[in-house]
Amino acid sequence: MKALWLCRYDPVSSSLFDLAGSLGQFELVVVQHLFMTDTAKYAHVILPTTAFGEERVSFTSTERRIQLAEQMVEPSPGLTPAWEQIVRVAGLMGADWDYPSAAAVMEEIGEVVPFYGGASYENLSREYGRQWPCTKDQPLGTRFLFSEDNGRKPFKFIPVPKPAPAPASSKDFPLTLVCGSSLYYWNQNVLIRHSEALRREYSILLIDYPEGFVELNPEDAKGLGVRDGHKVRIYAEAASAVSTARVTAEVRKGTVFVPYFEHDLERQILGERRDGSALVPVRVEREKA
Amino acid sequence: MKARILDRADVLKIVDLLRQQGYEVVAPFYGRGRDTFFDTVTDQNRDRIQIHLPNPYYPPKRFVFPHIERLMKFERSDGQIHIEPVYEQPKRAIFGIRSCDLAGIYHLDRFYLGREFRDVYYENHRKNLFLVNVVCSDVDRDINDECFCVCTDTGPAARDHFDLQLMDLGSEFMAVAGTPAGEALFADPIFRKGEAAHIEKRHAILDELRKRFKTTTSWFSATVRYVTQGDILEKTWEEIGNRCLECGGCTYVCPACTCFTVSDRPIGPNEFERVRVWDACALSGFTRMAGGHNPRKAVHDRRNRRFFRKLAHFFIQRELAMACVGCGRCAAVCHGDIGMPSVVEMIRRATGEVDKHERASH
Ligand code: SF4
Ligand code: SF4
Repeated sequence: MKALWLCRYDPVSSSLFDLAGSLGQFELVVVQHLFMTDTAKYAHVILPTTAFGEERVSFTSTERRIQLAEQMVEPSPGLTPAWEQIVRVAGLMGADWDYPSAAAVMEEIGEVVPFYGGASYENLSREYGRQWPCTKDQPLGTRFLFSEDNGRKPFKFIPVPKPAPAPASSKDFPLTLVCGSSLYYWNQNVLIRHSEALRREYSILLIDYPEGFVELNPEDAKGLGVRDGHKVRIYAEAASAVSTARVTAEVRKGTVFVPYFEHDLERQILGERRDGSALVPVRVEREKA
Repeated sequence: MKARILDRADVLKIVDLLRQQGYEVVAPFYGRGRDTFFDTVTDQNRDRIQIHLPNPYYPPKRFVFPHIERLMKFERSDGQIHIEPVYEQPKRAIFGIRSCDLAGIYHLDRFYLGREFRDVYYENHRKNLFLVNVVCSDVDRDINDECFCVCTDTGPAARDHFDLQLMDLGSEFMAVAGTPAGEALFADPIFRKGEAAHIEKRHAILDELRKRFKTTTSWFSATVRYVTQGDILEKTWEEIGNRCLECGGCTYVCPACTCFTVSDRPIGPNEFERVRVWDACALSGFTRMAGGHNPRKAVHDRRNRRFFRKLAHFFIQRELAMACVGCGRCAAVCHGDIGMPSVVEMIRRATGEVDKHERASH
């Protein structure tokens, strides 16, 4: 592999590993984005794109809803939509891609992806978009994917037992380490950094805990003799790491919560397991300065 | 107040008249589904202006108190810093503002202009603002499930604070002037004198309307007393706070919320701007002090702040009204269902229990 083309994607800020180093292996890195992201700093070519509201474009949400966003404002001079940049580069490379608009791209998607067959811009511009499957026969889309009345097999619900405590929950490792997202940290935080109020909320966390933090329930903290702002060491079976305690009733007793942006800590504790979804039994001790 | 009658077909001519007088006119339009919004009227969209429609969630308060507003610019050059204040002074008319939102603007007037220090930025937006109120008389389109202006005494027909008020009487509209500027419009031949029958019809419609409000009610007076006297149990505030996800949505949609924060940010290599941005008491950064201490650290300690500010007697006395105008927006947007009507209900129930308990122990 010689070249990498990243469309509105910022893996350098979101990855647990040294992606910046891996990007160095490529002869060409192209980044299309709204902002100068951490990844864009390693790119050979940066193509600044238009934002939501500056172009007519569709989105599909996790709810399967395909929505059309209309252009409401003129983009700043020099910015073009991401799809148009791809078409122009393809043209320069000799391909004959003839799309006059994003609607034409959508039409082609409808031809090759059967369940988008009815999702023309014209159709999407009514109501709050359509949920796929949205076909020529079913242009209003499908509200429930596995309902009995659309002839498909309905979902079968099975009760899930209460999650067992982390496997080796023992005297040595009585707490469970949970990794997850944080209220003011969303995906790669590119957008939050550009929103005044949210950015403030996020920066306050960093002002209060400049080296990051893990969250402990007040009862657990009391038992450990740990107060808010104290340095703590977290021991897992094979590794340990230091962080600052944020003592808050927002986390349950018995758990230690590691917010998403604590990359170093995650890396140290999770080691090779590193998918961030594992529950790890740990022990916490106050780290004497 | 003077009133006139005009034909239904002539209603939008009021927009034309205002535009001819040099006003930027904003009016409500339909988006998709339930979505509605205020937008600037142009020759292209003029015929799509709606008289009856669900009130937009994004309140027209932004025309006097913008979501983000530049206050000043700083420029660094030759080792000096130049500061230039930036004032916007539009000549604007809001056509179709609902009675609740009108009361909201009056509330902002009291807050920003009613005391010792007048807010120049607000004043500049407000100075040349012309308000055309439309009475919510279409039970299906104007009055939403969450509306409760009858409980806050702000609607469905405002009694003052407008320049002109329009009410749909069927094939005709009644126009009421609230200011000399509004009355001046009556010189146009689209307006004619009304008769006693028109007034009767207005009363009949309003009497009927009051009965047609939907499911939401808010029994404020007991809650105002409990909030003012500090009678609400910590446990009740905790229950309310536990349902708050700290999204700030209730504040961002509220036509009567006044809070903002100020922030500086770069706009060029040697240029900065100072902006003020809507802020919300649900967010913890709102009350956090510079040294790191937050007197309202727990969510419920911040959540009750909203209701103290809106309902406590001290503030009612200062602004001459509660800081809730019954628009129902917070009830529509809150994920935790702790909009104003639900909170009033929760407080009333919880405190009723306490009363009962106290009576029993005496
Ligand atoms: S809308 Fe509801 S959840 Fe959001 S801040 Fe307001 S009270 Fe909290
Ligand atoms: S508190 Fe809620 S109902 Fe009252 S004015 Fe504000 S948004 Fe409307």
